[in-house]
Amino acid sequence: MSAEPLSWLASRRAFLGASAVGLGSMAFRALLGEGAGSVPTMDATHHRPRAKRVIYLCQSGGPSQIETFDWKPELSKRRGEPLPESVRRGQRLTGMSGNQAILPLVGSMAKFARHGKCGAWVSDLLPRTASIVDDLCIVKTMATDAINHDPAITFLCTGAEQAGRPSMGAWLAYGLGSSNENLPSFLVMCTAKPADQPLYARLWGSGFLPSEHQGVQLMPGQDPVLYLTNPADVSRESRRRQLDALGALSADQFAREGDPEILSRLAQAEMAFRMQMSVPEAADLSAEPQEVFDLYGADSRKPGTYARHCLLARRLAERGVRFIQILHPGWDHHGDLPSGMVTQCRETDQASAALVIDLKRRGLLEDTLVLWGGEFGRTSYSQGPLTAANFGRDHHPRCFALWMAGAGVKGGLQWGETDELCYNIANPERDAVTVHDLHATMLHLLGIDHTKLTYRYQGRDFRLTDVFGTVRRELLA
Amino acid sequence: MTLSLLLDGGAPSGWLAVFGRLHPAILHLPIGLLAAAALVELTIWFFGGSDSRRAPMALIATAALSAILAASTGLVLHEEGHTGEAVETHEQLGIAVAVLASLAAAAHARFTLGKQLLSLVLYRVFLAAAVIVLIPAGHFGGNLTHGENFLFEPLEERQAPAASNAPAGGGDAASPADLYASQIAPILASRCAGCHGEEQQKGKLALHTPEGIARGGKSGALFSGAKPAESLLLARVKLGLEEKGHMPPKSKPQPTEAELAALEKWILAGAPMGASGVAQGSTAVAPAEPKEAAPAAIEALRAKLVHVQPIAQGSPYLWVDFAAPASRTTDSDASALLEPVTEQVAELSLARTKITQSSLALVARMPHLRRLDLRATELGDAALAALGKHGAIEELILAQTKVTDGAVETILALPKLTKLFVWGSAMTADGVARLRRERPELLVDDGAKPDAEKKEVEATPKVGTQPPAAAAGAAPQPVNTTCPVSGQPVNPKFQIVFEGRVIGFCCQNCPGKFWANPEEFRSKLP
Repeated sequence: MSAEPLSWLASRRAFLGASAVGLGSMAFRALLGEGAGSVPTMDATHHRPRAKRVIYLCQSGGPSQIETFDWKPELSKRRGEPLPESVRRGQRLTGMSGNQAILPLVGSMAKFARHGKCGAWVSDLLPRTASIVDDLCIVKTMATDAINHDPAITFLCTGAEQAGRPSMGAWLAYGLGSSNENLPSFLVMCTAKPADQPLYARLWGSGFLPSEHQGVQLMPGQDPVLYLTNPADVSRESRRRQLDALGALSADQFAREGDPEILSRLAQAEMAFRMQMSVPEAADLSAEPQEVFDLYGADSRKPGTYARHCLLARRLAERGVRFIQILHPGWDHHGDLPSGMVTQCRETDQASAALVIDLKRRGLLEDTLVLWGGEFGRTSYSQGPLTAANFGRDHHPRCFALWMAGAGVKGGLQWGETDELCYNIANPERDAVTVHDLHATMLHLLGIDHTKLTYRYQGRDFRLTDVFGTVRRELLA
Repeated sequence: MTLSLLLDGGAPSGWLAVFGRLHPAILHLPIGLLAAAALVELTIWFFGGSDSRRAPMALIATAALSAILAASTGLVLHEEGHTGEAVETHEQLGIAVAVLASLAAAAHARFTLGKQLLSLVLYRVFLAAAVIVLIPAGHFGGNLTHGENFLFEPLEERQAPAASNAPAGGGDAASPADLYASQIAPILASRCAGCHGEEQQKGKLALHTPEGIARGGKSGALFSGAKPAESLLLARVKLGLEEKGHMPPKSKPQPTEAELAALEKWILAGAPMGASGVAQGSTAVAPAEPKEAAPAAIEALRAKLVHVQPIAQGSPYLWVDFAAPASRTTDSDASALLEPVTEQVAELSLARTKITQSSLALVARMPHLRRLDLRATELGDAALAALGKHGAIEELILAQTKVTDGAVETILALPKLTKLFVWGSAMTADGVARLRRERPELLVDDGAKPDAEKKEVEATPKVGTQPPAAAAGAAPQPVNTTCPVSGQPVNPKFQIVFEGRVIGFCCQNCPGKFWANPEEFRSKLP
């Protein structure tokens, strides 16, 4: 690692030496690139990209595929019957339902109908999403390795179940950099609501990549980025002079010590300086017309809601942010699924669909990939007692549904079939899409060969897809 | 040749194809046997020998037989699509060997029967002729399998060191158009043209001329647009070494990483072939590809925080996005920054900037501009008209601009336009309808809400199901009042569907016991 920024520094220094600008604070600003932020690894994408940015609507907790996109009438017909061993085939369950006397099958609590030209089955919990199915590529045969939240969502966000790897957005920031030098290339927003499953910073962390590539979290409230504004009585000019002085000192320190984190820290300070202007502008919704708030739903007026974040995501996409990750917790319906699903879908359905519609009419969906999904699915049997009006569903990694839209994805496609009890993928060799496949396909759309975007750390080249992943061209237009 | 009449024009298949493919094995028999026969004959001639002619007879008879077999297998193999001058020559010489060997065998047979000296002389003449013809036949055959010049290559100086030493990135000098002459042609010559070249064209593929490259082979065109991922050529080369169809064949020298990278870069650039000017696949000749933009021009854009990036590695085309400085960007900024890169810009976003007509006049001079994003600008019809009949724009985003129905003519004058976004502009439904009418293939997005009509609603399931209403709290009534497992009163919360009937239980544990052996409890049910 250490060789790279040094040679980069050397070439920049040679450039500066050749020009008439002396070293010093000005020079160091140029060195870090006033117009370059941090220097991305790739000078250009490997191939022509279909997507220039990604909006990832991360549904944390694991939404039920059975109540959303995977219609299983057979489950309703066989309500209450135990899950046959011929289907389960001894596959592991969690400790939460593994010791249950029976695993009673239970069908969707929501009603399904076919929508759009493509005729996709979508439940009535998602009426707005149903209205845009022709733009969605619904993958019903996602599969993950992990059965518990922490490893599963870490896997989904970083490509590995163990903590410590860089997240998707960090890889992208590292590889391609920003397309708006006034904003970070990776921004994160978490719905402000109490939830069983914590949303921790590693899901948008930079792992072993230089730390300026980590996601920057936008907070609800007056200060979208905490501690970004200058303290009272500190002017912008004064802050500029301060950063110049810090830059000169850092240049000195870096020349002596060569620690790349010195550059990272300064890059972040410079980015923060630019963000003092750009973030308030991007987060200011005062110019948005009522029609837009109507589209995203009344919640979009409230800071910290999912709807607000979807609207902000559109504004950030308009401004060229590469990776926008929205995390919405609360999908972990071990019990009280019927009421829980109604709440969760009400919080997300309209805004998710609105985002796609809003991007589309602005021409942004052409080069923006929108991704909706959680870390795993839910079991087709009830966790806990199955009663007339209530039941729950446990974690289910063997099949779950998510959707993609925009940028080169085949709209109106429903990919794959699960078995009639929604337990296994009917034809896994053909249909199963692994998390690694999802990452490989996403990077492919972004113009990146997933096997080539690597980072050497502790003697080994790492990549988002580790040693796995296939670009699933079947999903692409 | 003649065999093709027999095969009715089609390539051999099934056992006939297998027979043909025995050729490379069988052909060694006549070579060895004819050489042995000649050696025996020479030995007898110089040193004298027994009068027994049995050994020479056996030798020449099997030699003739194997030569005939080799020639006929060769004829079949030829029909599998091996073409080229060298193949024809090899075929004619091979047939000659078979004929001469047969004549020699006939003469020898005559001699063993009649002991006439003339027959022996004839035998020796035919045998000598067969051996002499065998040498060029074998040589041409060897060239076909191992590549032309396989034999003498070690004596020649390496012609094209540039090919394998070329840097992967393509480096400084070569513009994509020169790439073919400087790097690609040498790679194809050294790695491919042995089998797909002037001498022979296996799979009807010739890679030694631009025309041949553009034509492709039996399996189709080599490229599909400037997409390495869809290039048949690259796919075959990149296929695993053990895979069927990998090229060059496993036994042949493989291209280096640098050569692969050069090929990919070349295909990405649209596989230009320089002055010969044959564009890949398509018949249309694309406008000449520009040189890479001057580094100073790129630096100037970046200094103003304009995002600029090649659309792919090694491509001279640029994606330029004014996202960061948009709200401050005026005509003078945009013009000064864009003027030096007009040739290279392929995707341009001026969204949310303050530009006017004069910038669009500059945009009109961008010959390779494919995508133009003017979203949320103040541009109106007059400004848009400055685009003229731009011949390259495929996507145009006019959402949230001031264009009206008056822009319809300007839009219709863009020949390549396939996608148009006008939501939030002043264009009316009439204008959109007119665009759709006049250019049915043009996708016009005016932000109209998608049709939310449901196609088919889930049938309410009949027997044994829990209607969705259950979620709202309407519990169906169990058919029993006492729990079949415990005999306690039923709590309607705990129920299952068994054989189409709703069965109630007293607690959450009893359904498990019931399902473990329903027969045991059947008698307890009403």
